[in-house]
Amino acid sequence: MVYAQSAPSFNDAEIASIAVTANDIDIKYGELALTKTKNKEITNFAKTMINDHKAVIQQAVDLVTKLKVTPQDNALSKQLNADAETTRKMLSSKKGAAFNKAYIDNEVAYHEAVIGAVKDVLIPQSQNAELKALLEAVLPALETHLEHAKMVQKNIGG
Amino acid sequence: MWNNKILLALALCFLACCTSRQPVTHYVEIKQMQFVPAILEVAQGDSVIWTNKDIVEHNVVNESKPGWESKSLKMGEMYALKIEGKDIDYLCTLHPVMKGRIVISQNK
Repeated sequence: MVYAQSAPSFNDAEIASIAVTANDIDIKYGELALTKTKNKEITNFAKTMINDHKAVIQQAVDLVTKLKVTPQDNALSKQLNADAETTRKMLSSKKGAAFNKAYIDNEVAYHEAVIGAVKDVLIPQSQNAELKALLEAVLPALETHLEHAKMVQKNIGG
Repeated sequence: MWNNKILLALALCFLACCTSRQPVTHYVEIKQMQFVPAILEVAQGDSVIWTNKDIVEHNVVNESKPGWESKSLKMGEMYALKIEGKDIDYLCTLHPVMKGRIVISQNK
């Protein structure tokens, strides 16, 4: 998953769609985790992902509403959703410790990929200053999620 | 005349040295997923107010048990605490990589 590799170009409506999609995917991974795990660290991590990414989506929705921009599906948002569907199927097929490991490994990889896309594609290509500022504000949260995921990965022996 | 001035100066020095220090309120901002400042020096009896400036919720939890903990703070919400006892290591349990420390200073 290296979304930033070919650096395609996006307009602000497409960037808004990618941002909402990327957050929504991680909420769904978290919701799946809550139905599959009994591990306290995984549960707490998943709850944080759900709450944080919902908060980011709310900010994005508030902003596009204010800017009167309608998020627009595009090649990257479609690719993200297709990859997420495959990952959800893979995660759903696992249980117990195998699920915990697969979930947190995916969280590490997913956050690394999303951070790369936000830094290298979405922020540089955002035209609207408020959209750019929102993406910049979200970056530290994504980086903290990545550190947190790596900590959980280490603690569960992943 | 000079004696009076010397007496006044001595009296002021005495007051400055012996009057008890008034408690101070310190502020910690929670922003960009960090406690700012991460290390805060305070005196016994001072207060600290944490304010969440981030989009996401945070909390403030004493790492020592039994300790204290704030509720989850939404953007703009605050948590206040009077500092008594010894140095405090704290964290946000929602994002456990976020840590802070309050150092009790005798020089404050």
